[in-house]
Amino acid sequence: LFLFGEILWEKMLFMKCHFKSTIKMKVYKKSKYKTQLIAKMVVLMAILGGSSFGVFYIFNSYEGIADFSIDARPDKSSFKTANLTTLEEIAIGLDERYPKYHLPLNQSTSCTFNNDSMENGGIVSYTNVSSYHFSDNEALWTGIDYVGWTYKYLSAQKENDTVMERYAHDVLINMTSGLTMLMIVPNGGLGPNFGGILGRGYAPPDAKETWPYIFRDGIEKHFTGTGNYTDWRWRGYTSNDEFSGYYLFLAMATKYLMNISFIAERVSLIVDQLCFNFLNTNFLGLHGSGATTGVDQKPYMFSGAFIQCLLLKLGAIHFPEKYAQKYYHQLANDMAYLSTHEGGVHEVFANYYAYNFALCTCLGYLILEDDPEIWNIFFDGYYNSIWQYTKNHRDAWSNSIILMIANECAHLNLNARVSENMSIVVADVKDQLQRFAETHYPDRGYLMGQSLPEGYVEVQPVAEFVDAMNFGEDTQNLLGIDKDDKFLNKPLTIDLRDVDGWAWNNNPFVFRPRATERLLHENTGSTFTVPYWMLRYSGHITRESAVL
Amino acid sequence: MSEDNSRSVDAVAFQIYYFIAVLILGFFAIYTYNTYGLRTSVQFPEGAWMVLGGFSLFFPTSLLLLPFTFWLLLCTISSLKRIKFTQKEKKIEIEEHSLLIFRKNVSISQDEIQSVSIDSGSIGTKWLWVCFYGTHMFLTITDGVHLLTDPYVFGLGFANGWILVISGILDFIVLLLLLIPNECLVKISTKTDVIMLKFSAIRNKNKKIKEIAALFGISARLSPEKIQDETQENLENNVKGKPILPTSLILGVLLILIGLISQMLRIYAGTALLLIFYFFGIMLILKGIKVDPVIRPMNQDKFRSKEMLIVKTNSLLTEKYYSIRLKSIDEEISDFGAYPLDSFTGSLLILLPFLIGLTLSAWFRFIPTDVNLIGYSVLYVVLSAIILVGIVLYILQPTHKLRIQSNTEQISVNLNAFHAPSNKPVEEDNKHSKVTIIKIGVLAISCLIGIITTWILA
Repeated sequence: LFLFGEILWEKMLFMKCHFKSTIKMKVYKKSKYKTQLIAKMVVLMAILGGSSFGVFYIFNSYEGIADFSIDARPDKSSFKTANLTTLEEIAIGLDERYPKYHLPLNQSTSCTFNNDSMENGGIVSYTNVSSYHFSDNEALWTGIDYVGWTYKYLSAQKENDTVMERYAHDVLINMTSGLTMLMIVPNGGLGPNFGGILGRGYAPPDAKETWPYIFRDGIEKHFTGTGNYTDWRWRGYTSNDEFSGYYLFLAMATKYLMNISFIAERVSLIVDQLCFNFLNTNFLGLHGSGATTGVDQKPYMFSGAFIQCLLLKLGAIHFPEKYAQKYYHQLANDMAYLSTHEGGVHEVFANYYAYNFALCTCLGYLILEDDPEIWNIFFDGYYNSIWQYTKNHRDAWSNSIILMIANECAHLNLNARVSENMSIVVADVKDQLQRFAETHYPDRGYLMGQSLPEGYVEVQPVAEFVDAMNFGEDTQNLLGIDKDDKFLNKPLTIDLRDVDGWAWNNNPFVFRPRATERLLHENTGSTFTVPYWMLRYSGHITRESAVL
Repeated sequence: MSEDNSRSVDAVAFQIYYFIAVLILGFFAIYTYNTYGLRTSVQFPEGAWMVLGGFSLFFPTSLLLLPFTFWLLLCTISSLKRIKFTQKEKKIEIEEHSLLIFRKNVSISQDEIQSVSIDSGSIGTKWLWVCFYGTHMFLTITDGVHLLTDPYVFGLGFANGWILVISGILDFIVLLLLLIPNECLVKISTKTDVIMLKFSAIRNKNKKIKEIAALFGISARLSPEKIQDETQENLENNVKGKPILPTSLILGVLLILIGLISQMLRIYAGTALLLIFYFFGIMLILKGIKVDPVIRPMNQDKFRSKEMLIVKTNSLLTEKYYSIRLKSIDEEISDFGAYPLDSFTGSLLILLPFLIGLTLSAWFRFIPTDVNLIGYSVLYVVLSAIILVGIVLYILQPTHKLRIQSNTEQISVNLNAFHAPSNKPVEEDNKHSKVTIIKIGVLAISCLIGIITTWILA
């Protein structure tokens, strides 16, 4: 602006000349000065315009790699009719096993069982755990699972099933306890008088057999606890994936579970701790050495405001006197309301997992914010960005989220703001649940089809882009792409995919089947249970069994 | 234009302060490169930037600045020159040896010279350095200070905070080196040509400028003894040494103070408005010390005969000489009180009110009625009003500007240092009123567009 202002006002109109002559003596013919000036302006505009066009062209081409995913609309005629009785039995079955085998140390994890068939009449009992497979994202997975259990708890309340309510309540208490320790162990305590580092996972000193890896020396991500927890261990370098899942847990608890004092006390302390510390660090994440991890929760480039606004909204709900002004400052004065887009279509071929955690922040924020003015802006941001990118992905998680938002925010007139036929979205989720029920229950490491399913074709859109741009390997690495990556012309349904942990985190356009089966390996079942309980609570799936 | 005998002014010029700035940035870049490396990875035990798996701290502290530093280096190298002004037989010969090698020579007959201006502290496009290094300074110091003042930051967090703050402080030092030291701009206008020469003499900078002024016969005519020998007209009854209200400085400091308080307390100004506060704050302060006259000068700072007008103005750090031949000017000299709408005041009138309108409207649009934020709302309105009134007062301050219009160019001399003539023609007052209305209109419309934009954008 200044450059152009300087040139336009002071040169074109008044013919002052002090801009020139920085480098050497200039001699201008007055008669030609205007012509020269216009010529220079044209050259400058051409350079700026050309550069802008070049950047826009590259960016547009980069995003265009994933155009195939936008066009891959699901074939409604292929949707399976869900057997709701079967789905309910599977949900109950998976939930029975979850707290017993998939919540060690109160963190969500898959496990491998011992082959005890010799002692068990030729049948593996699936009760004798050999090892747990703690991941790098305990806050994220436990946070997502928390969603399923919360809606199970709420469904039980709605259906007056006190047994199921009590069961879900107890699991939620355990999960809250584990999620709380993810804050306590790295910082030495809970509340605003302690630091704000979130662990990727934690283990008490007596858990060396449960999670031996976290006690191994020489691992850069592993740290000892702080204060009273110096003999505990935790994993650091915590990413925004983790924070997103964690904030979703806090949002679910804040929205639905404040009647449970155990949860309410802890959640409010955690919210205070996180808000206080992130405001202090200007939303930069820290890790075990005290240094910055690179995590930055400020929105930038008109994108990514959900995570920051979700945290401060939590603060404004729990401690309005401390954080309400901060929330509205970030939202209004710092213009977070202009950065409500989440993700990009390019994540189909680069960092697909980013959709999953971005969806966590969208769900968390949109169920908490009830001001129609703000909600509409953020919903439009969500709807016009990440929903458009993922709606054709046969992703039961993404679909369940828009259904849940529609259910919880019906008073905000969502239906008037969307063009989707929600019944098709419901049918899509049910189709995925039915396919899961037929092929993946119990949730173990089955060997899926090894050849490309009928109707699927592999394409190499990245290669075309890389060749056109003549990008080298380093540039590809920087952009998170690989020339040799192959993608399917349409997303795989869940029956055609390996499930290893939370399936909705993995790219459905990539066909890379596991070569060997792992029948002793059991996942948490959340791939099924979380969407199931979300639909059950929102009334799209009905209870089939009688209340005992 | 000169009655002096043959003589010359010779100087070797080099932007020594630019060179120091390049050295500072260069050594800091080497240090941060050695410490943090040119790495992108998932785990940086010593600290990372932007995203997990993003960039080492070398990127934000140094690498981002390297293109600008490289440009600065080019400017530094190209500033090395030898210049020579020679007055010989009614001719002025200007010789320039760029990089001490490439010779360029211009010879002008003194009779052809229409005007000469010598500005000892030309700012030119130095505003751009404020945009580049100022933005970087803002971002690094903001994050760095947050880390250093966080009660629960520990270990390498302090090292990260310090390196960011040091990077920002170095930006500030570099800005001082780029903006404060004076650089002389000589502009000579003939009927057909405009000749411009910018240089920064290594030694005796002020003396060289005075010598050049003398060469063009400017300082000789401004000496008290000479005044008595000439026919003088319209010499005003100046009050000797009376200070002028430093409005640019006041508004600049006000903007920076409001910005700092906003940022420290996380109230009122968001990032965009903060940046604009700081940019305009720095620029206004710079204008206050290098452009605006601060002390009303004595009579001998203005000389006017039937043929010639010679003016000298002083700011805190600079001197400006103007010598204008009147016979060849087609239009009369005109004095009037409206400060023209130049690029700086234009930007000030558009950007600040726009962002203030945007900020206020967003705040009142989004805050709920059931949360007690009335105190903040009142504060924001008051702060906005103070700033807008400050801008209005600033742009509407009576300004004595001398504009000389010929067929081919317009020479504009800020004569704020002198009293405005008491016998201003009525039509000039009308013109002043029109410009005033336009300025207030631009400000109001900018503010209104800011308010509306909140609804247009979201």
